[in-house]
Amino acid sequence: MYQIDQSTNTNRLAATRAEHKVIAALIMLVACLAFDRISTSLVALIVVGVLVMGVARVKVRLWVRITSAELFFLLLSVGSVVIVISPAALPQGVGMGFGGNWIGMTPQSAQTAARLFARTLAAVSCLSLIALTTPLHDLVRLSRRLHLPALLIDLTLLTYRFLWVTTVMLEQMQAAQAARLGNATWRTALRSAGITAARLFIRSYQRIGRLSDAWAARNFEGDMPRLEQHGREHAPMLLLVSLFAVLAMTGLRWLGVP
Amino acid sequence: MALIEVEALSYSYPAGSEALHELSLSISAGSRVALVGPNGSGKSTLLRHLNGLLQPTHGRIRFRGEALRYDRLALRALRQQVGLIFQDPEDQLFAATVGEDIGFGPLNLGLAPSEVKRRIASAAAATDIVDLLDRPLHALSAGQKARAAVAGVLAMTPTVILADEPLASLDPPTQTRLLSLFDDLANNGCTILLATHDLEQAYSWADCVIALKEGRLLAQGSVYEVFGNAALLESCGWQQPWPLAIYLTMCLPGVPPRRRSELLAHIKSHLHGISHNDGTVRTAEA
Repeated sequence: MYQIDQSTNTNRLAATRAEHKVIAALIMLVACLAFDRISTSLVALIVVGVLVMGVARVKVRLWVRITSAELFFLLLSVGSVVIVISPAALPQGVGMGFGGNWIGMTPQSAQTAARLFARTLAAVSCLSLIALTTPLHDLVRLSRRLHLPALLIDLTLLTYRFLWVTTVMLEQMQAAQAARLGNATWRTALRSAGITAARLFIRSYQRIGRLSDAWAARNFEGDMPRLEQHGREHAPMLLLVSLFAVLAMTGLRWLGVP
Repeated sequence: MALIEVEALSYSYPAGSEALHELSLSISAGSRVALVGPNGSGKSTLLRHLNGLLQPTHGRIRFRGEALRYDRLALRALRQQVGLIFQDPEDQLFAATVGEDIGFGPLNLGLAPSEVKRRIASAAAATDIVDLLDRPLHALSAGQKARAAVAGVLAMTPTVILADEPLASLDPPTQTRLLSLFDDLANNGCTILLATHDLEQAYSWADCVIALKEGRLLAQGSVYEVFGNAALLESCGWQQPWPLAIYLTMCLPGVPPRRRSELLAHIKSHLHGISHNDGTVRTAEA
């Protein structure tokens, strides 16, 4: 969480308008899903990779970790697609008999699985362009410009803020417990975790009360005010790159590359 | 006429504990007031009353001669005039960035965006956090958070600032920086009420002192009246601020020094005066 947040605030595309990043990511995402080929997915993956790591200078390790975060679930899904169970022997591919059925893999199932794998990976990488390069407050501003419900936006903002406040509280409590042998054995660790959970709730509740007082002291009357901040950098480059990627994908499809 | 008058103020929390008891005091416009007292003496409760966050169980508070009212419009007007800086900046800061948080109060006042931006810039400049405006709050140090919290209140351009132990847990340079900012504000006519545990700080900074204990007023007066009262200090277990203690012990002439530098200058000039009469003192001076 710390690394993602640090990346969104310090990368070289941090000052770029969120709209441009979101549009560029969506163009490539839609193209990926529409063309649904291994080659087109690879183009999206490479283009996003270059934008995130080359242009924005996000650390390679972070990008790989984010993009591969869903790898476990993806491999499970791909596994269920690639393995074919048939009552008759498989006409093509490899397989083995098992309890009266044939279990194996056909060229078609392998191709479908590879396409699914590439498409999902590329789609996630498109979203990583937004997740790793756009500070949350820019996304909030974009949401306001898009006239998303104010309640939803305010909740997002508060959840984000309290995520950090609660994390700090949690770390302090865990450190205090560890300093007094709270994690010495699994039994004490379990007890400490229970106390932490209970105290964390109470402390969060108390903090909400104090925050509410602080709002009242600054004349909060129910509506979270909004201020359009100074303009961010325009980046037609991002849009051009994404359009170029779509052109390349169209070309690959036209050439019949799988 | 006093800017703020508190008359026989009593307050009990819903749980039943009495936090303030028959408290009466007054605060003059443009003064630097230190609110001192041990933990649980009612300092925070008093400050919350002055901002209208709490309503007295008994007694009343007057601001500019008028009794406080607690309807929406009256509170809105009061809080525009009386800003409250919370003890823990984490309780006050909530927005995604420093700039947005500073703009929260001015936007609540219904000001035009251009004026809000001007106030954000001005408050950030006064607290020296201009380069932090776009930074997320969790990426700030404790000192930066304290300054951001002060900026959030300054942006509302209050005439009274209530500061609830804002210097606690800050390092000495940051404390000096904030006190200097409070000095500048006071010099521009702002009334500052600073709650603190640090008697040395209160003695060196304030014009007058309000001392509380267990929700009761122990003393109100100039720093010399309060900190020169040995019986009062002893009853609270407080130590006399050392510039005053040394001044009184040495029976130095002139106005009692407030700061370390003033005390040293005082001693130096005193010894220098003696040395002209008796050359043997030169050894002691050296």
